[in-house]
Amino acid sequence: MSKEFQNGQAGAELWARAREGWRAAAPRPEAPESLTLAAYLDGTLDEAARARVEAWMAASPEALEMVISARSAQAAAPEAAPEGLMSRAQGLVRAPPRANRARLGAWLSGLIAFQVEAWRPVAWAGVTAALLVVSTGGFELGRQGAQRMAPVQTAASDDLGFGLSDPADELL
Amino acid sequence: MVKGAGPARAEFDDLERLVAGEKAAWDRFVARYAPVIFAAVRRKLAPAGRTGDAEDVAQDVFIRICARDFRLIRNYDASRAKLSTWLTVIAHSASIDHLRRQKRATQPLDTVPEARLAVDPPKDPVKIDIPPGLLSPRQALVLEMLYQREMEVAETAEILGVEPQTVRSTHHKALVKLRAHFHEEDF
Repeated sequence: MSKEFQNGQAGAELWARAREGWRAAAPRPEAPESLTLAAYLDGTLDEAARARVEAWMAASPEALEMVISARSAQAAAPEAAPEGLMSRAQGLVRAPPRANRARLGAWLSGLIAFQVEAWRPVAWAGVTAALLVVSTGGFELGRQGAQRMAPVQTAASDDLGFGLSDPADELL
Repeated sequence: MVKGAGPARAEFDDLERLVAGEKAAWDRFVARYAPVIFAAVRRKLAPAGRTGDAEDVAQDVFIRICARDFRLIRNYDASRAKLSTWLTVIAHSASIDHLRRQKRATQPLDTVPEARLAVDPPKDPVKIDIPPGLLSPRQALVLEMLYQREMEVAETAEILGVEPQTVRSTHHKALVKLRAHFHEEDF
C-alpha cells in the first residue's frame, strides 16, 4: 500500500469492496491509437481526449500496465542497440523506390534532349570552326615544315668537286 | 507529406526525405532511434524473461515502420507527440504482440501433466453493484493505482501527468463518495 495512505486501511477496504462493481458498470472504451497514447504521455491532449484515455486505463489492467511501462521507458535512458540490429534495420531500405528512379531518368532524358536541341546550331558552328582551324593550322604547319625541309643552297656547296678538277676537263 | 511541425521537428528533421525513400535519411533515422526502440522493447520483455527476443522484436518495429511505403510515418503528426514517445509506444505494442504470440504457442496439451491442468472450482466473485458514474474514471484509476498497485502518490501523479496534490484531492473525493454510498447501503 502507498506509504502515504498506510493508515488509510479503510480506503483500501472501500476500494476492494467497490472495485469489481465499478469495473462491471464502467464503460469499456476502445484502445486509443498509438499517436493518441503518445500524446497522452507527452501531455498534449485536451481534457476530453485525456479523460477518454484514462477511462480506457481504468477499465483494463492491461491498459494501465501498458501506460505505466511506456511512461517508465519514456523516462529511461536509451540503450546502445546491438550492431546486428542496426545493420539489419538499415538494410531494410536499400535504394530509392523505382518510381523515383523512373522520375530521375525521365528528368535526365528531358534535360539531355533539351540541351541537344538548344545547342545544335552552336554545335555545328563549333564543328565548322574547328575544321577551319585544323585545316588552316595544318596548311600553315605544312608550309613551315616544307620551308624547313628544303635544301639550303650556299656558294660553297654549289661546288661539289671538293677541290678536285672535273675529270672530263682533264680529258679535254 | 509528414504532418505537423511540433516537437519532432527538433528531434529529427529528415522525415520528408525518409518517406521519399532516401537511404541516407533512413540510416540516420535507424542510428538515432534504434537505441530508443531497443530499450523500450527490452524493458517490456524483461519481466517475462524474454530479453533474448529483444533484437528480433526491435527489428519487427522497423519493418512495421517501413511497411506500405512508410505508412506509419506518413500518418505521424509531429504537432501531437514527440517522435521518440510515439516510437516507444509502438515498440511497446510490438512487444506485447510478441508476448501474446509466445503465450499462444505453448506446450502441446498432451505433454502437460494432468495435475497441472486441474482447475480450482470457481469462487463466487464478490461484486457489489456500484451505480454508473459514482466514481469518475480518474477517481477509480487513482484508487486502483494507490491501493491495488500500491504505488506512491508521486509515482501515480507522474503516470497521470498531474501534480501530486491533484492525486490527493482526487483520492479524497473518491473515498467521500464511496463512504457515502456504502453508508446508505448499510443502513
